[in-house]
Amino acid sequence: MKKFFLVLMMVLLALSPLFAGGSSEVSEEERAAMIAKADEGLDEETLAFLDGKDFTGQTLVVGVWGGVIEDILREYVIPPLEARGATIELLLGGTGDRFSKIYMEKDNPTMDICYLNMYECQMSMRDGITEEPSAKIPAYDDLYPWAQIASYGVSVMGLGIAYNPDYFDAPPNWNDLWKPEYKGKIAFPNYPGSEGDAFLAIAARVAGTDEHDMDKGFEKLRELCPVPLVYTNLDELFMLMDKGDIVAAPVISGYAWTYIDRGMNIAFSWPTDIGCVKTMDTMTIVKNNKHPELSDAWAQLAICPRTQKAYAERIYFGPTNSEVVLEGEVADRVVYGERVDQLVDLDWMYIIENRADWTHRYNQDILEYDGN
Amino acid sequence: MKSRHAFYLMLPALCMLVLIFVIPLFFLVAKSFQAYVPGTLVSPPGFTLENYINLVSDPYYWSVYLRTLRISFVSTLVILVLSYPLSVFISKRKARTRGFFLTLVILPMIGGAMIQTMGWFATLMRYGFLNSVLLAIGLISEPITFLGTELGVEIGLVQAFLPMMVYPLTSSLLQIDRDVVDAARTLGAGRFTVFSKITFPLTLPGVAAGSVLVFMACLTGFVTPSSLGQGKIQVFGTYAYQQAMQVMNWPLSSSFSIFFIILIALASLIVSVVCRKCAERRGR
Amino acid sequence: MKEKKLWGNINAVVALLVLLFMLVPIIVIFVNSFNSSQFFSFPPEGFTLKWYERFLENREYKTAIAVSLKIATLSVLVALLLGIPASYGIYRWKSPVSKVLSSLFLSPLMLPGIVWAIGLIQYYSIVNLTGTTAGLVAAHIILILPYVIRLVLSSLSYLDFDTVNAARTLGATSGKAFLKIVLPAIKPGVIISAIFGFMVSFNDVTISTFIAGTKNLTYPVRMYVELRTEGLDPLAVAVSAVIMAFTIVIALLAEKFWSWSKYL
Repeated sequence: MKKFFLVLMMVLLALSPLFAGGSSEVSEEERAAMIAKADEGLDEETLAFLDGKDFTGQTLVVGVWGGVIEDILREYVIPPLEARGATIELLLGGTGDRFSKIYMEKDNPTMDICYLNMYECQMSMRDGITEEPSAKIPAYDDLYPWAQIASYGVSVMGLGIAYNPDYFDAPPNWNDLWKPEYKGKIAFPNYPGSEGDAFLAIAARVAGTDEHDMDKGFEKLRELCPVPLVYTNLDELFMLMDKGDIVAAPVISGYAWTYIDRGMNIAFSWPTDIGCVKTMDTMTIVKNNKHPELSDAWAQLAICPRTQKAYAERIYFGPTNSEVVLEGEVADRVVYGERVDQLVDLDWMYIIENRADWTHRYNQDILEYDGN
Repeated sequence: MKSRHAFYLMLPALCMLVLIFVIPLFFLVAKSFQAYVPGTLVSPPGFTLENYINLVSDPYYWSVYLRTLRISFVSTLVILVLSYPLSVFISKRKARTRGFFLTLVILPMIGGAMIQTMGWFATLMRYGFLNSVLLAIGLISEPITFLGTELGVEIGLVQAFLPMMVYPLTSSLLQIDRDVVDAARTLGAGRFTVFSKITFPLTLPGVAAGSVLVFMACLTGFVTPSSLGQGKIQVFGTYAYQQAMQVMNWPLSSSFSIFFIILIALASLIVSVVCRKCAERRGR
Repeated sequence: MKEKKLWGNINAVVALLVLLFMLVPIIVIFVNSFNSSQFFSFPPEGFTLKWYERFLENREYKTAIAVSLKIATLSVLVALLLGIPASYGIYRWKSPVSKVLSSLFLSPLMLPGIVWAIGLIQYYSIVNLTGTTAGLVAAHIILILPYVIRLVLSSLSYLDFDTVNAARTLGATSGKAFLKIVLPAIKPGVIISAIFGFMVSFNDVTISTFIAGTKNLTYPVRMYVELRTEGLDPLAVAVSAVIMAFTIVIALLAEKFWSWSKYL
C-alpha cells in the first residue's frame, strides 16, 4: 500500500506540468498563418515593432482587472503574442492586491506587466518599482500628454452615476443622490480603492469643500448610510440595481454601458454639477522583469490603435491614443474629445498620504453606521 | 535509545519550525513596536509604544474585537446545538456506516474553505438559492439579505467548523458505557434524566475540547467573513488583512493581532481558573 | 419500545437535516455548474457543459491547479520526511524536554494562521521568499507538520516496543528495525496524515493569500481574489465542482481502505 501511495504522489507530481498544458510543436507555415490571423488589422508601426520576434518558451505574467477588460485582452493583445510562441498568464483582481505584490517582490519580481490606476503608478515609479514610460515603445509618442505620466495610460473614464431609471425622472446629478428618498439605497464602492476615494471627494464637494477637508466629506457620506452594499464586483451591483434593491451607485463610465447593452434596466448619467471624476487605467512594466522584450511587445499592443479602438467600441473605455478616431454612439458613450477636458482631477497625492487615516474613518463612520 | 540520538531525529523538523514559524513571529513582535510611515514599507528605526496605545485608547478596535467575539460565540453555540443530535445519530450506527457518515461530515473541512464559501455565496445571494426556495414556498415575500450581515457570516462559520465539534463529541459518546444508560433506564429514569444526569456530563470533555477548537477557529477565520461579509463586516481576520495587504500598515496589523492573541490568552486563563474553582467547590 | 423508536426517528430526521445543511454549499455548486445562465439563477435556466469546456480551455485555472498539486505534493513529502523521525524521537525519548518539544511541534495548530501570516510576509520580504515555490512549500510544511506528528504519534502508541527490542537482540540494526517493524506499524498514521496534509495544503487560502506570488498562485487564492472582485464566475463554479468530486472520491476511498475517520 505504501508503494501505491508513493506511486500516486509521483504521478501527481508528473501530472502537474501536464496539467498546465504544454505547447505542441507547430510547423513554420502554421505559425506564419497563426501570426497573420492574429495580426489582422494591426497598424504598420506595431507590425514593424513585432516583426521577426520569437517569444518561444517565455511566459509573461500580467496583473490586470477581470471581466470585460480580460475579454478585450484575450481577443486583441494576447493572440499576436501567443502566435509568436509566448505564453501569457493573467492574474485577475483589483489593483490593491497587485500593487502590494509588486512592492513585496521588489527585488525578485514575478509579475512582468502590472495594470494600475493613475496614482498608484506615480508611487511605484517614484519608488523604482515600475519603469518610467518611454518612446522605446513606438506608440508612446501617440499617447495624449496626460496619458504619458508615470505609465502608459490605457483608457480614460469618468466616475459617474449608474442608476435605475424607474426611480429617477431625469439623469441624476451628484446632489440628487442625497435626496431623502434614496437614503439607504445607494451602493458604495469598496474602500480603499480609487472609486472609493473619488466618491469620498465627491461627497466633500457636495458639502461645499473638497478632498482637503475630508471631515465634511465623511459627514456628508454618512447622510447616505446605511450602506446597502459595498460593491466589489459589478455583476452583483447591477443585478441588484436592475431589481431596484439599489437605485444608484457611483460607477466608472465604461462599465455601465456593457450591462445596459445586456438588457438590464440601468442607465448612466454624466453628472454636471460637480462633473465626473477622471480615472485612468494605466499599464506599467515592472522593473527588472525577466522578459523585457516580451513586456515591450505587450505594451505596444496594449496601446496600439487596434486595441484602443476595441476598448472603446466593445466596452466603452476612452482611448488614450490620439490616433484613434471614434464616431456616433460610441463617441457619445466614451470619454473622448472635449469630454476629457471636462473631467475633474483630484489631488491624488494628498489622498494617498491620508489613505491610512481615511480607511480607519471609513471602517468606523461608514461601515459601523448605526443610525446616529 | 540515547537522548542524543532522539534529539538528532527531531533536529531537522525543529530547524524548519524555528526558521519558518518562530523567526517570523519575532519579526511580527518587532514590527509591532515600530512606527508607520504612509506609502512605504520601511519603518524608521526606533522603538515606539504608539501602536499599542492607539489600540487600547481607540474604541473602534475594541468594537472589532467585540464583534469577532460575538460572532464566534453565537457560531460556537449553534454548532454545539446542531452537532449534538448529529453525533448521537452517528454514534449509534454500526462501525461501517459510522465511518461513512463521519466522512460526509468532514467534507466541508477537507473540501476547502474556498469552495464552501463560494457555495454559500451562491446560496445566500439576494437572488440566490436560499431566497429563491423561500420565496417559492411562500415563507417570505421579500428576499432576505444574508450577504454582508453577521447572520451570513455565522451561517458560513457554522458549516465550516461543525466537523471540529462532531468528531470529539462522537468519540466521547462512543465511550459511554451502554450498560450505565440501560441500568438507569431499567431503574425508571426518564429520557431527560438520563440525558442530563448521565449522557451530557459524560460528554462534557468532548464538548469542551470541541468548543475550544471551534471558538478559536471562528475567532481567527478570514475567508468566510471576508467573502460572506462583503467588506461590511469587519472582524479580526478581515481587519488584519486590510491593514496588512491593502493599506500596507504592517506595524498596525502586527500590533493588532498580537494584542488580540494576548486578550484571548488572558480570557482563557481567567475562564480556566474560574472553572477549576467551580469544580473544586462542587467537589467539596 | 415504541417510544424509543419514535425518539430514534426524530433524532435521525434532525441529524440528517443537519447533515444536509452541511452539504448545501457543495450541492449548490454541483447543481449550478451545469446551469447555462451566465449569472447565478435558481432554478437553473438550462443544462449545459460549457463551463466545463471553458475550464479545459482556461490556462489560468489549469496552471493554478497544477501549482497547487505541486506545492501540496512537495509539502507532504517533506513534512513526512521531517515528521516521522521527529515523532519517533519524541516517542523514544521519554523526558520533560521531549514533552516541551512535542508541544512546540504542535504549536502551529494553536496559533491562528493569520497572525503567523502577517509575520511571515514581513520575514519573506526580507529573505526574498515572497512568491517563490520554496517559500510556499516551507509555509505549507509548517501547516502540515503538526498533523503528521500527531497522527504518527497516535499510531506509535499502539506499537509494542518489545518486538523492536527482540529484533535488536536478534542482530537487526536500529535502522533495519525501524524500517521492518516500526514503519509498517505506523503505516495508517502516515497514510492518513499524508492524505489529510495534502488536503490542508491543497486548499489553504489564509496563509497562501498572504505569501503566494503571481507565478505561484494556488487555485484557492485565485478563486478568492476572483470571488471578491469579479463575483460568482460560472467557470470558477465548474472548477470547484471538479475538485469537490475528486475530494469526495478520495475521502470515501480513504475511509474504505484505512477507515481514516477513526484517526481524525
